[in-house]
Amino acid sequence: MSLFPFSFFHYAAPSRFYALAGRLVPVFWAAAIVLAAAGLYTGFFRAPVDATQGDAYRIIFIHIPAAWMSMVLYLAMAFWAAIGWAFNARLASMVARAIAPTGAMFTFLALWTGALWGKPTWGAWWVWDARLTSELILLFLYAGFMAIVSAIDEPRRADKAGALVAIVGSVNVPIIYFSVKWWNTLHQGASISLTAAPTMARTMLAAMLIMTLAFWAYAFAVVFTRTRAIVLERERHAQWAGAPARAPATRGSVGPEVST
Amino acid sequence: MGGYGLFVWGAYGVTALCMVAEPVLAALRLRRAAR
Repeated sequence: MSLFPFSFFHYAAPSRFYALAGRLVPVFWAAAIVLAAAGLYTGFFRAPVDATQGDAYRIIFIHIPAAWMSMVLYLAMAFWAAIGWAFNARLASMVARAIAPTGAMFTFLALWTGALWGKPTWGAWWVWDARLTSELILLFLYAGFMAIVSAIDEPRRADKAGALVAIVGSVNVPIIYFSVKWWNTLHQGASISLTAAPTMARTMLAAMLIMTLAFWAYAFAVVFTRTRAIVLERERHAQWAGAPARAPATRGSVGPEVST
Repeated sequence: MGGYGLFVWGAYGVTALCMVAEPVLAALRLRRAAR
């Protein structure tokens, strides 16, 4: 007898996850909108002007959440791709495919907002700094994953090839995170650490953390929507997805009845 | 924005554009798949 009232693998079936995700997407959208409103209000109307950067620093409220999401989503993509490969779980591979475009978008936004922050503060749109370069490589890794899963026609072979790219590329994520510690970089070091007090004002930190939660809720909403689309695309042969029921075979027939 | 408006609004503007376009594209994909 199981200790838990439900099976953890109950939603591993694409049809059940499809229904669950459909119920959760509106909840995630509501959370994303409320959190974004709260975060932007705190960031623009409660957080003070920075002593050295003036109002240019307010880009932090989207730059850091986007950068964090780019890394977290890559690791999530690699995790689900690995699960799909190891256990031949097709839903896990579908989720990995659904994560990739959102992760790539956040990576692009981290680079874009970083460039717009770097120009007034560093005097340069771009430098071949360790963190910036490794974040750019992350964007290429996302693009490579999406390209390889699209290029291979047979879905399960494509899933396995994508999983290999995702797993190998995941080594880049700690490189991004620790680059400011390992190398002498232009990009500033971590303002937030698990082992030390934050070095930024509390209202700034609060706005940044609220916006991170907003981006996270947004990511769940969009990834779940895309997963539902992928489930329908790949399961269109299944009856629950709307495929017509096959007529039962009768004695003497060699296959499904063909209507005339 | 203390003279930094182009940079701040340029960052927020493109972010908003991407975070509106992406869910719209995902929803369109779901609608096509459901047909």
